[in-house]
Amino acid sequence: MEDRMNCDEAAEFVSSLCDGGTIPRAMAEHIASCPLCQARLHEYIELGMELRQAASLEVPTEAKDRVWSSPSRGVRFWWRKGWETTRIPKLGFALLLVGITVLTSGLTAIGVRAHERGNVVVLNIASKAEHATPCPLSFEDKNYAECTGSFGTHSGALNYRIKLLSRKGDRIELGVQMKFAQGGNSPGTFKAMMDGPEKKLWFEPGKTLQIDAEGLGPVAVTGEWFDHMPYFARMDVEHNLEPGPNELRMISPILLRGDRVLFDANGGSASAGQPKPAFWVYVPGDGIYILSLSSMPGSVQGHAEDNRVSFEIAGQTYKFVTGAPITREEQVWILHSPNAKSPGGIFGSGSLDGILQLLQIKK
Amino acid sequence: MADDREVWKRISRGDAEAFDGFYRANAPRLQSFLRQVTGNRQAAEDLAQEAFLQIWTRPNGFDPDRGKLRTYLFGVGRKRAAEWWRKQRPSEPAPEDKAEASQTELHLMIEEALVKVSTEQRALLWLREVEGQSYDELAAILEIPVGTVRSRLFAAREALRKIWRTPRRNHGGQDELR
Repeated sequence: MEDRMNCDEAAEFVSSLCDGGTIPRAMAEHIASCPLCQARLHEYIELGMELRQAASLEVPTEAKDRVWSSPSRGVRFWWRKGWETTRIPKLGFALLLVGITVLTSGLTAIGVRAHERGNVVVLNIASKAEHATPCPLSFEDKNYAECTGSFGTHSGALNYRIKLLSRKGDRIELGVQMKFAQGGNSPGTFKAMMDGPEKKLWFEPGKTLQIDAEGLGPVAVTGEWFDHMPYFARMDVEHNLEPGPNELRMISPILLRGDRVLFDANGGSASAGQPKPAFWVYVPGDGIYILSLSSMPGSVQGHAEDNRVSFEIAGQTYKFVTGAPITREEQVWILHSPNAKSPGGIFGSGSLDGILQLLQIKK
Repeated sequence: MADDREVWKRISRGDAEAFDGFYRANAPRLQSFLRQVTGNRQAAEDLAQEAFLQIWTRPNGFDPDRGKLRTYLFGVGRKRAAEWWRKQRPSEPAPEDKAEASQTELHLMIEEALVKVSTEQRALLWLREVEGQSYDELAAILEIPVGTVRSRLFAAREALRKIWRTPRRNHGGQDELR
C-alpha cells in the first residue's frame, strides 16, 4: 500500500528523470528500488524511442522549393514595390507621395505632448520642403519599431531607414540610415542603403532635426507625439478616400478563400490608374491572382462594393478585402493562374498588359 | 553554421538567401510537427508555409536574447495550428489523413496511439521526444510555465502509455502497471 502511494507520488518524477531532470533524493531512492517505477521508466523511454523511430519515417527529408522575394513590410515597403515591381510611372509615384504631404498638415491637431504619455511618434521627413513623407514609430508596437521607405525629389530618390532606439524624457534616440540615388532608384539601391552605416541621433519631437544626405543636402526631420497610431500613418492613403475614375486602389488588402486567409499584404498597398489598371497577388503554392477593371481570357467576373471584391472560382467563394474603397466600378474581373510564379515581390499593380507581360501570362 | 543572432539580423534585412537556408533547415520538421497537431498533411504544409511567410514578412517577434530561432518558429507554427483548429466547425471532426501504404506496422501503431491523446499532449510529446526541445523551450513554444511543462508532459506520457499498452496486451504483452 505504501509502495503504491510512493509510486503514485514518484510517477511525475519518473517522467522528469526521462528528460534528464534532477529529482528529490527520496524519490530517486524509491525509483531505484521499485520495480514498478523502473518498469514505468523503461516504458517511457521505449515510447520515446518508438516515437522517434516513427518520426524518422514521417519527417520529409527536404523542403519544397519556395521563392522568398523581398517582403512587403508595412507601408514603408510600398515604395520599394512601387519603384521596383510595378509599372506605374515614377512620376506618378512621386505625385502620390506629394499627396501624403497634405496629410501631415493635420499632425498638430491631434498630437499630444510627451508628458501625456504618448508612445507614438510620427516623424515627417522632408527634403528642402519639396517632398515629405510620414514615418510612424511606436514604443509599444514592434511593427512600428522602424520605418523604411523611399521618396522622389526633383533630382532623384531619397531612401531612408529610421529606427526607434531609446527614449529619455521628451527626447528619442534614432538610428538613421539614408542614401540618395541621383536620377532615381535602381535595383540594389535599397539594399545598399540597408547595408550602409547607421547614425545615432537624438531628436526632440516639436523641434527640427537636420540630417545631411550625401548628394542631396539637408533633410529636415520634424515630428509629434501621439497617444495612438493615427489612421493616416497606418493606412497609406491619400486624403480623399474615394478612388478616382478608372482607378484601382488596394489599401492593405487581404484575399480570403471561404474563411481562410490566402494572402495578407500586412499593411502594404498598391494602386494604379492607367486606362487598364490591374493588381496582382502571389500566393505561394497557389499561383497568381490578377484583379482588373477589364476582362481577360479565362477570367471570372467579380462584384466590387466599397472595400470588398467578391468572386467565385470553381465553386469556391473568394473575397478581396481592403482598408479603403477599391474602385468606382461595380464589375471587376479576376484571373487565377495557378502555375504562375512571382516575378519578385508578393503583390503589385500597374497596367493590365504590363502585368500580364511581367508575369508571363498569355493574353 | 551562423548563430541565430546573425541569421536573424540577415533575415530582418530581407536577405532571401539567409531566410531560404533557415527555411530549408527547419521546414520539414515544422511540417511534421504540425501534421501531428492537425492530423492533416495538407493543412500542416499550409500552416508551415504561413508560419515561414509570417516570419519573412514581419520579422519583429523574435528576441535572440530570449531563446532560439527554431523555438520561435515552432511557437509561431503552434499558434497558426491553434487558429486552424478554432476555424474547424465543431460539428465536423478535423479531416484525418489516411495511412499510406509505405508506412510500417510500428508507424501505424504509434500513429493510432498518438491520435487518441489530446492535441496538446500530442504536440508536447512530439516536441519533447522527437524535436528534443528543452523544458524552457517547450514553455516558450506553448506559452506555459516550466512547472506546467513538467506536469503536462507526465500526463501526456501516461496517456500515451495507457493507450499504447492496450493493443500490446492483446498481443501477449505483460500488464505490469495499473
